[in-house]
Amino acid sequence: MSAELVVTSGITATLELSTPILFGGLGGVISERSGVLNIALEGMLLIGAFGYFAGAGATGSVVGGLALAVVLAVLSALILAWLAVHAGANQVIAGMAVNLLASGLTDFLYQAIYGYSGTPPVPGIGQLNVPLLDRIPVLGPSLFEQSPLTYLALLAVPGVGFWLFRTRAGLHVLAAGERPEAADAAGLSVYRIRYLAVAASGVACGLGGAFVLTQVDNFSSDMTAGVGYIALAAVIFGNWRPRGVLVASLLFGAFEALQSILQALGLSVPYDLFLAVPYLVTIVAVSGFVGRVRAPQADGVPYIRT
Amino acid sequence: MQELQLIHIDKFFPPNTHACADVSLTVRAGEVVALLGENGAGKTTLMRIASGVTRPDGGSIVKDGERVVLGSPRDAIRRGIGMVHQHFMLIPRLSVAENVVLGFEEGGAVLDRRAMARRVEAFAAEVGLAVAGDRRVEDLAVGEQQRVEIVRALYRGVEVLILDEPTAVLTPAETEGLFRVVREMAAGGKSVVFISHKLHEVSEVADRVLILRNGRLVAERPPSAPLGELAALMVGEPVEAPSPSRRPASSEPVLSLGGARSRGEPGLRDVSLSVLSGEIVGIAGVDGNGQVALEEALVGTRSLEGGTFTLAGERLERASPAAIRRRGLVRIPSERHHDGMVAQASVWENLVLFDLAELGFARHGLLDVRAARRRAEQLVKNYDIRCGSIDQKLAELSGGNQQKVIVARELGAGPRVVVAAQPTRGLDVGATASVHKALIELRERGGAVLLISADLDEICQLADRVYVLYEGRVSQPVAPDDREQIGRLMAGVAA
Repeated sequence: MSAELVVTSGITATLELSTPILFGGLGGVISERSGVLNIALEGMLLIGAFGYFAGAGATGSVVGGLALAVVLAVLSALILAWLAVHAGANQVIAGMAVNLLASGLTDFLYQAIYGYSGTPPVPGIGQLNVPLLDRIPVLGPSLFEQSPLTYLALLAVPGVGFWLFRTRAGLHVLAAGERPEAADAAGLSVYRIRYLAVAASGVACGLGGAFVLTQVDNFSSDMTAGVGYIALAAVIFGNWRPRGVLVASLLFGAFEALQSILQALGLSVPYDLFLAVPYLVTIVAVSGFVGRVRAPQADGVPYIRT
Repeated sequence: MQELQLIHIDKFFPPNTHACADVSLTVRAGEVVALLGENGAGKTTLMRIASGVTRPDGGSIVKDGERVVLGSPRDAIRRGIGMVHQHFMLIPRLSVAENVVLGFEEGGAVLDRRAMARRVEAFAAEVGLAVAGDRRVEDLAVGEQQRVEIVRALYRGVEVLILDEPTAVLTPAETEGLFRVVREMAAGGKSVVFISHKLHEVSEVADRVLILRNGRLVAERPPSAPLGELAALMVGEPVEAPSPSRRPASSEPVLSLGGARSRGEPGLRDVSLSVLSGEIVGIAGVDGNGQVALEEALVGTRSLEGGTFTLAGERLERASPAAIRRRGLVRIPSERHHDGMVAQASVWENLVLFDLAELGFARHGLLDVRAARRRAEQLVKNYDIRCGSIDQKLAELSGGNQQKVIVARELGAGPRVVVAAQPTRGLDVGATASVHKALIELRERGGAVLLISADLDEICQLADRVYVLYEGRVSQPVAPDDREQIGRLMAGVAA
């Protein structure tokens, strides 16, 4: 491989691999800023992936795929919201329940729907080349020839940041996540805020899951392969801020890209070792940052009105 | 002209707490009404009902001649009734202005923070309170946070302001400031309900004093009523102050620090002090001058960066908290809910929480439940802990009785030294007296007490010698009756 190709494909792969982490991470930020710990990112991404597959397969259109991805992910988010907000359940367990449900349900539906008939062709989203900028050598083909969903995720970073920290709605989310009883006393509905925030994380995960599917065009069992947990790590590493999540996503994505490049180089090392690299980096990064970051005060604490 | 009437208010908390029993009272415009009573007398519950936090089981609320149903704090605020809770309802990570306007933001969906801060500052200045709109609440001192709470209530149009134990967390100077604000509000036609169990405060600030006991309104007195009478009405029986019989201590220090330094904001800076067996040494000082660092350094949860720490002749700079405890130093922690108890565990479990093996309640890793329970029963009796049974959850006890559980556990085994940090903060008269009694008894038995307290009355009443902590340094020892010198040292103006 030429050096140029390595750089180009490295950056391309980084962005591709970062995209679902970023979607999941932004969803996690919104949900956790409102006070609902979101372990269910993994499951919601998986459901989003299945939703795109089923929707796009059935309608033959990208829009149909995205729509079903978002709708199903939001529905699964609402299960988490119901457990965490209304039932006052332990949010770690509620999140794991959604993940297990997602894993089992997508498998079951895949078998039930496509087990005999075979899978339909799924339209991909393709890539959007940014005019002129894509002509820049090396950076052009790597940065500006990406999936529209990747651009959307990147644009969502300042968007979510502005919404959280500069708008009335964002202030209400922060209040619910820091001190729900204070938000309640100010006349805000903590339940409503948390439901909506978790639903918003469902939208993000729906898009992230759709992206995962469009990378391979076919659904397979547990195909998100832990990306939701890495997104969860990105939330912590990014200190519950969209920009921090972006940095973390790119970092984790870069190590995943490095992993595939190392494999492609054909070194005589067991490839399993490279597969482990992103996870090791995640562990190191998050453990190094524990204590230096600060979760929303009421993150994971159910609010029960007295 | 606003007027708030509570009529025949009743509130019952299962299984057996009648928090408010047929309480009726009226708060008129421009007056300061003090609600006096011990912890658990029902003051806070009554006012939570008046401010829409809690629903009453019976009775009615009339505001300006109209019967109102308050389903939420917001309903109450709409009717002009607002409460500043004992634990502030502020969001530490948000700015002062954001806290003030939360839920009542003006303008569109996008917030202009600068304009918001200026608007809040202008409003605060108008009502005679200075706040900095764009500072984060977590960076403010407690007194400033309380001002923010008051500004917020007034910003929301509150006419009847309820203050729940507002001075519990304030320094004497801040308390004075609060009283001024309260009087100005009343002069401006607003009404203030002042919940307290501190007699002298009540008589200083109130126009009328209402006394609650066991959920009932037992009396109304003018603020000029003798304190003894108010106290008797409050507790239902005359209270004796513990007699501070001061006897000479031994000459050998059982605990000493020499040039101790530690991390913290502020940490310890060259702290030297000693405590003899059979004496109570007071550490006076305004909160936030290194009290927490001192407390933690002594129990071993904050390591010393220099200096010496000697307990009964043994150097313990590098000792673990467990090792220090084994050598007979125990603590009544300032953060009692955090460091002193397992609220969801039972009373008996909390009473034997530490030192299980040392006290013979555990062998080979197994708990001797019967011995532990016997011990707990005995401590409950000795320390007059009021609980339904020792199987009750600690969380269900009143604050005063929770603290008695901690005191009983820590002092029950007859320690060499106790570090008592803010041991009566927020406690009522009865519980305070019982904590003081326990500390004095320990001294009489030859134990040493290091009393870290922001309550100067308490220090002067109990201590044999006083050090003043200011910005992480301690003064030379001062006699407890030299209040003037102590006051100067607390303010950092004396050499």
